Amino acid sequence: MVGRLGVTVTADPLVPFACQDDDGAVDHSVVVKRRAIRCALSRICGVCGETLTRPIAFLGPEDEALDGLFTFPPCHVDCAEMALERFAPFGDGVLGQPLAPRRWAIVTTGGFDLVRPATRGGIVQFRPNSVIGTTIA
Amino acid sequence: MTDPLVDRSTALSRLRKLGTALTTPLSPDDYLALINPLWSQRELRGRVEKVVPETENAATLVIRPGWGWSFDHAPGQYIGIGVEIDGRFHWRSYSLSSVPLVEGNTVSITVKAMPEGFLSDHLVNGLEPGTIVRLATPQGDFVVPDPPPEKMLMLVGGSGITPIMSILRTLDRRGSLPDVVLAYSARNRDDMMFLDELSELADRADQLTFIPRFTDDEGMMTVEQLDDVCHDWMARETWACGPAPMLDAFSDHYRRLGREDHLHVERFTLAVADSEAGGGTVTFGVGGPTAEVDGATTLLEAGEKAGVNMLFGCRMGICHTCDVPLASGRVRDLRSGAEHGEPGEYIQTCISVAAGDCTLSL
Amino acid sequence: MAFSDVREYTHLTDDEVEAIGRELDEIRAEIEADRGQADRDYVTRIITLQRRLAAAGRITLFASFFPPAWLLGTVMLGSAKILENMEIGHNTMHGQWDWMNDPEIHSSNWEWDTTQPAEQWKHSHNYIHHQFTNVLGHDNDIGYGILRMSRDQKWTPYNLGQPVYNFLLAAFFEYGVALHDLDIEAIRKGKKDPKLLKKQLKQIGDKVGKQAFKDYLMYPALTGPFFLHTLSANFTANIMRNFWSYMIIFCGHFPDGAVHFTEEELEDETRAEWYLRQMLGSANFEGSKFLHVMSGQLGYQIEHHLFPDLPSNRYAAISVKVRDICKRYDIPYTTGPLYKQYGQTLRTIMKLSLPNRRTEDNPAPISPRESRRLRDDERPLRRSELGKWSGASA
Repeated sequence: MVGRLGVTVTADPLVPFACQDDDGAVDHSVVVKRRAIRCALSRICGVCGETLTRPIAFLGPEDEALDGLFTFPPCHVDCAEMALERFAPFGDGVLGQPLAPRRWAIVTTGGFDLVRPATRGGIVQFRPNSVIGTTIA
Repeated sequence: MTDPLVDRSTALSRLRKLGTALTTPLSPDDYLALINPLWSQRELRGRVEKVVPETENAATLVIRPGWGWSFDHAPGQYIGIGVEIDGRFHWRSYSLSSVPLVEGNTVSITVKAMPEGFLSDHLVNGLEPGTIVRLATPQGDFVVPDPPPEKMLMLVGGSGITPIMSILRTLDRRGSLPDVVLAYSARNRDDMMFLDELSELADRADQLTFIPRFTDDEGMMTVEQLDDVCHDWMARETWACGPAPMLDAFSDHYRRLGREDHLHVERFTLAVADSEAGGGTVTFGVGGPTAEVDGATTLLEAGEKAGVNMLFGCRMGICHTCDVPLASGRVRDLRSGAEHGEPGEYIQTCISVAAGDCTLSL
Repeated sequence: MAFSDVREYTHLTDDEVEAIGRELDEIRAEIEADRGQADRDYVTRIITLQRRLAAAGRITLFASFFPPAWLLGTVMLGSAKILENMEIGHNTMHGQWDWMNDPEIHSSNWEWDTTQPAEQWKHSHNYIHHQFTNVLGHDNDIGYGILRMSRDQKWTPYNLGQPVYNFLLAAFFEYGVALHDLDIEAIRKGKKDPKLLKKQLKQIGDKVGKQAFKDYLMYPALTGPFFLHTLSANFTANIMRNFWSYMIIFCGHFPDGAVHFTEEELEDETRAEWYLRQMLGSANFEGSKFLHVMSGQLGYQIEHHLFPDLPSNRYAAISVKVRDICKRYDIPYTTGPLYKQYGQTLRTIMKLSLPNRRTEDNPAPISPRESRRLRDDERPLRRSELGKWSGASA
């Protein structure tokens, strides 16, 4: 299924773009690597799959915000806030986080760098490189 | 992108449409900006005309906005200002201290350089006149209605004076200055912005009662002293702007006495990471006493308050007498904003705050 | 011949591969930390220059009836279009300047002066091409769905027309690029989602409309009686940009030293392996600083593929370090004068218009390590066509 073009982007707010695979499989607790890379390279939102706008938002546990390294791909600010509101109440296994974080954070930034995995099977991560603000939920 | 605030006439908008057809995918602004940077409203911008020192660490920036700017902001509102430093744009918000529609084609903000704010320091001390800055349209509801209420009270601390200056100057300008009591606290005479202008205004206008307070000598104003400072405060619509603890105290006070609807508050929150992500439980020595701290209390202060014997020297991050290793958790250096989280890393307690729970090896 | 395993091809041990990955990571980290005023100044200067050049060209063409003015105006406009396409637009859409936090120079909203909508380019180029670089069956840049660029691609009689298609593609490259993201291959196989196709066609139609209106109606009309002169000038400027960008882009992955890969290579690549594939699948060319700016720094294709989102003005300096790494680890580093790189590309295009049995294979370049193990008489004959390598010498 690698590189299958013409995939319909389901802008379905019930399933983040980054948590569904090209064949339709959905797992909220995992970010699909292929989708994450696509979000980074094509500059599209991990929640709705549409072109990113400025500023770019990253959504993750407070620790990811402090370390400056996120698992969930870049999003629109609105999509990040909507996703937080919609999915955080479910606790474990949402937005690519197997365990519910103690506190969620949204970091806004002008740009980011993609960090590819060093080891086989590793995940891709995202590093904001011009942070504008951090909000702790 | 912001909506163009010009183009009120259809002729102008037709011209713009024609221009866009010629410049697509760019906009005419992108070419006009080649001639004069202020002739672009694609991203609102302005030119810094003057930097006027107010006190030793505060200055008023007089900015000439470019096309697309609407000058009729309400006094008390704030604008966003984007400054380019080392290639990147950094944004902050500052209250406008100028009077709308009057001062030529300029707006003014008055900035106080904060020790932990690298941008405020740059704005006060490093910004050259002629610099082009980006702007965001005025926002905020810390405004006084027109006509203003008959009796007003203003409770101000430090740089909270900036929106108040805009309000007072505007009311004076319009000749609609009502009975106003201004209780304004600053550390000392040198530190008090606009002292001369306010004294002069109070001399000229009987309706204004100006009560300056120098906290180095008199201490900070407490809610108990409110009755002494202004005996009829309960009959006055109140505007308060200053440091967070002061605003919290007065908000509680007004709420307890059922007057919260008559209190308007403007909070200058720092970038949220500074105030909300800071703080946590600090453990002094593994297995030792703990203390809950906020993001503004240094680890040295917290330890002293908790009765722990803390070594110190200069108390300003220079001598390293206070260095201790971090056993676990994260702290933030107040001067640089840098976070430290490596177990065993030496940190200076006099200038570090907790950034989450942390344990120090003492 | 396409390769399935970079490690096997380069004869590198696992440790060496990881070491290379780390060294490249270090280069990356260094640049990321160093991005600052000088880089911003570079891009803002280029943008200012490009816009002034475009304005000057348009203004000059108000005298388009006068042949020297026609020529000057066309060249200025064409150069401006080239700069915007290559050094500015392509690089901005990669996110190279996002770190500046400036909405006026940002990947999220940059729209470039060609018929292709930026959104589709970011998908087909940034993602498909840069992620699946040179992987047969996935990277559509291997022929653009029109040309046969690898012996492993099946020959059909349609390919006999290749020299003609090549010329047409070059002349109207911006339209080839505009249709690129539609994925002709998928459409042909019936695998393209019709709703998406419709949406994309509409987007393309809008963009083509605006561009055509501007270049072939508005500006010519503004020059009144010189309508046709201005029209021909604008048309020529676009053709100029098309030919130039086609040539530079084709030099990126088709000179002899650049190899292709099969799908197996993609399974769970590590960062280091991804770096290697990018290096082996790309080809540089040499030239003056002016040439490099006009080619959007794609003369440093290898460096661009290693670090697509780092500022392009840094590639030249990075290349010194990358060449050094290649030398130490015996990795082929394909480069040569521009005419040579394009020459090889053109030769390949011509050759592959014929069935395989009709032509001799240029054997895939042998990695320097392996070639050293061969005896002289076992070495393939046509080494001189295989580009320059830093390690081995013919």
